[in-house]
Amino acid sequence: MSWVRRIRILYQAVFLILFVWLLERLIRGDLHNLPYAIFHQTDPLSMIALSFAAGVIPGAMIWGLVLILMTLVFGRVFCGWICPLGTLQQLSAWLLAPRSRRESLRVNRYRRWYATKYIILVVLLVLALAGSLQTGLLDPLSVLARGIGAAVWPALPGGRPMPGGWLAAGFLFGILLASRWIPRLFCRAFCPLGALLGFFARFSLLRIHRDATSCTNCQLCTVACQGADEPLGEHRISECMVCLNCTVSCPEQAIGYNFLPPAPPRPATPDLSRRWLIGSAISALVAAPIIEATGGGRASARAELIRPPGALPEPQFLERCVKCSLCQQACPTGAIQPAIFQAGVEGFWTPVIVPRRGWCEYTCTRCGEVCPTQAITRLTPARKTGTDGQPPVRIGTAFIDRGRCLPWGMETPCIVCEEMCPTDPKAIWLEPVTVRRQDGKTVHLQRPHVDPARCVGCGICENRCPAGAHAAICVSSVGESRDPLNNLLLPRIPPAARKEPLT
Amino acid sequence: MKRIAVIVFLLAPLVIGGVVFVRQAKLRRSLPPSQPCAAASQRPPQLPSPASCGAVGRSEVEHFNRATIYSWLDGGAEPYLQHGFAQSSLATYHFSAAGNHDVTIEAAAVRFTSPQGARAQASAEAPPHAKPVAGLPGGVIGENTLIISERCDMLHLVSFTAGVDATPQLTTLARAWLKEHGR
Amino acid sequence: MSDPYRRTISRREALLRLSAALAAGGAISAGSIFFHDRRRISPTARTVPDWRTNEAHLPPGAVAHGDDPAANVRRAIRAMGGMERFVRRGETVLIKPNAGWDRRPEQAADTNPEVIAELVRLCRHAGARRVIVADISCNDPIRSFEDSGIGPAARAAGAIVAAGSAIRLVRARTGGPMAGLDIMGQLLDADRVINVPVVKQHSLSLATLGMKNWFGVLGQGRARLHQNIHHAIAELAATFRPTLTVVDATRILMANGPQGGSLADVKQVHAVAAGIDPVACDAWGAALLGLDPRRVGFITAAEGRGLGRADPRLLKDLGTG
Repeated sequence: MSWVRRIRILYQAVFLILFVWLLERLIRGDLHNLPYAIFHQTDPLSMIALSFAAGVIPGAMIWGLVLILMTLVFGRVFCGWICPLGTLQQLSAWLLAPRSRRESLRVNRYRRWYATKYIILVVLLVLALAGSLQTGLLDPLSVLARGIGAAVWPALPGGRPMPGGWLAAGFLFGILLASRWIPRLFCRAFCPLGALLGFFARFSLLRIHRDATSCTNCQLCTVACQGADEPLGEHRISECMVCLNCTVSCPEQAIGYNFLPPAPPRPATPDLSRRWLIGSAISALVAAPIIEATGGGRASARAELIRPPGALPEPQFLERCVKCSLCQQACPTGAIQPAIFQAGVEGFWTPVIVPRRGWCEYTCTRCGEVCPTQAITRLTPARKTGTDGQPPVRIGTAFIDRGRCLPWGMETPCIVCEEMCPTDPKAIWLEPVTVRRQDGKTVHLQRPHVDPARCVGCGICENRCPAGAHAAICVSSVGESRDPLNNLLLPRIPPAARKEPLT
Repeated sequence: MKRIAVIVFLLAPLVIGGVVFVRQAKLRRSLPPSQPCAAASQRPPQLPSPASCGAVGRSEVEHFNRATIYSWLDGGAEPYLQHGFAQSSLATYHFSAAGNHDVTIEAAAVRFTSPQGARAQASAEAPPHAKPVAGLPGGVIGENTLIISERCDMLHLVSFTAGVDATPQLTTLARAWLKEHGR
Repeated sequence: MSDPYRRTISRREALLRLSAALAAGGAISAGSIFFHDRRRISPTARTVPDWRTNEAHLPPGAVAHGDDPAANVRRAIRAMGGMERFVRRGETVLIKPNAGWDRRPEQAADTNPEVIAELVRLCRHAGARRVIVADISCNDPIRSFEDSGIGPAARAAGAIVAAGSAIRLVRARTGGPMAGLDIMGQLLDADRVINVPVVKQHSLSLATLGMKNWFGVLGQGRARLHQNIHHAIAELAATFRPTLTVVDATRILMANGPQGGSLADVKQVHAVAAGIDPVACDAWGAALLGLDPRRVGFITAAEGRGLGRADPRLLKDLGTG
């Protein structure tokens, strides 16, 4: 094995291990402020789609520019050297299907339908322009983080299952399994990030060059090719993942990776016809308002749609969330779950708090700290709890179901919800009562009440309520700070002190 | 020779990146512990003036901090420190009550670094069979002791006059403290 | 066409390719830096204009009695100096009736259609370019405007009727309890505004009159204002300052307001008041319901804020015509 190939594999291994290790530290609740979102923050697909959808590139997302500039110089090195999902696919192709040279030659040829990824990219970017950010569904970094968070961690000892985890697992393992038949099928045919980088790779300064005079057409380069970019024929620079296998496998040293080499002839068949490009753009433009209107995510507040603390108002949230699942993995109580139905079609796999699975820890602000796009804004504990003098950040309000509640419905003492309530003074207060039971005995009870002005909707009451599968106290999204209209109470604003002159 | 140059050239970014990553990660070590009451714990907590609660008089207010707490609570300081004790103020109030009985109440306002700490200490010190106090949310009373926590502070009142039900005086004092606290 | 398999490229081609890469890099960098941490461009919140005219030497209001509602309107407006005093040539006038409910005119839940129609005619006659009759109804807006007769009567008199989906909601700079609520865009665009309530009983605020009629220009979430209704109504009255208030007391609803239904709850008063003092106009309406205006919370709150005087006697009585 050549040194170049060894070093490339070393790079791939380092980035794959780093990606998994950061996720592992995140789910374990490491208190170190590690750069958990570093891969997602350098994702140029998210960066460009966010600037389309939200009109802003928040914070560290600007690092995506580095990847684009790198691609302008070196080509798609991200795909061949960095992307952990690409590495895993390569690994799976190598493990699952050792191939003869003849077979390798067959599976590593370019196929016209590999241009599907450009259609996907165009559709996703047009949807983003229309205000619906869906790149995360197919973004390889989000796909892998979701797959690990929803499928791998729950399966390990002590893991918490996630609803719909099997969906993410099926998607990830489907991608990996597909490499058994066509290596890196996802990268070659479907990856929107690869398509975006492929667009910029057309300008790349360093690229593969075949010296036709010394080439003997032995096809060993095509046998080893990762990107199916035909180094032998009309080399497709936008498909090339710069794995450099062709250069090292060439017995004649006819292939090199050179600075500004002569351009090969344009391929006889272009990747994508203009008709297809315009057609997919127009279809997405037509589909966007239909999805937004009928997807069920944008209608006024939904009771079960409890977003993490600091989440932006729903339309802006949907413009920013890349469904990377980092907040879901960061949540120490497992409260943040992927939304399967709660947030509509557009909000599929966006984070939602399910109090029966976990509660929002009172002073914890971890979800906002790891969110790469600031769809969940960064809070300090003082800001979240309101000890800085401003109103606290609320995510909902708890309501008592008096039929299920032990002291209300069954004359049995219980104060668990009040005991757990973290606000100070407590949002749940107890009313001492003496009641006569059916058997004639009198009992002293403390019946819980919720003060909606104090409740922040953290859900620990619902989580700990002993009333069986359905809690007797449940949190609804009403009262959330992010939506002034989804509010029960009149905002507490001091009356305007101005006095009009009498006319 | 050329091959070594290529290897060095290819490995250099990885090594540089690794060094930068490790150094950055070291720089950004661990989140600051959440101390919502950090600002408040700089000052000693307040006790109400005798006039605001109908007391006849009040002794001089003593202040204690983490270093001097042992001179106030020699034996019981450890749980306080565990709950994030920051500062405390201590004073004795005198009330004149009917029946020639003067009521003496010792009041301690204790500031913790977090509301949870204040609440935990309050519930740990609540006397057995303590009952909630009417009109004082979160306050409990029992055996001539009234305990209430509000934000980062805990108020601990004990009446030292045996044989007299000091509930009215305890409640007024606690209410006056809460009122001043609300400001 | 040069040989694609040549060993080197020309200087010209190298320069072209380098500049293409540089241009692409520059463009994407510039774009990224432009968008980086950019503040979102949010639609600017509109301010609520003051629609009052120069009102020196005008009486606070005038009341006309008589069997013909249209004649009552004409006489009351004439006593205020005529519509020409309030509406200038080319202006857009918005008339805000109470068209909240799907009720017939005789049930007195909505403003009398003849009063609205006569106001439209007077505005048109004064030279108004456009007269818009608009309300955000509580019931189905189409049924409310048709069954109350306001829609057909206003259209016949030459007005544009805006109801239901025709209402634009815009973000406005309002404070207090209205913070965050959207407001009828047609209202903010109008040059002059005439508030035309009907006198009705209300279980929480005691009376539905002119100042409470502003509930009908607010969008979703206005129900919250009932939590502190007197304060909220005074805040509405301080925010929305109409050119004129015309109180329709042709028929008034004495009970089961603000929807009513039974004709037994309706009292025939056959009067119309027009005025520039919204508090005095409301005080007059409250007196018709048998209330002491000084005991109606929102009237005293509005007076306390200096929005007018809570005295029904300030309105000049023109008697029957």
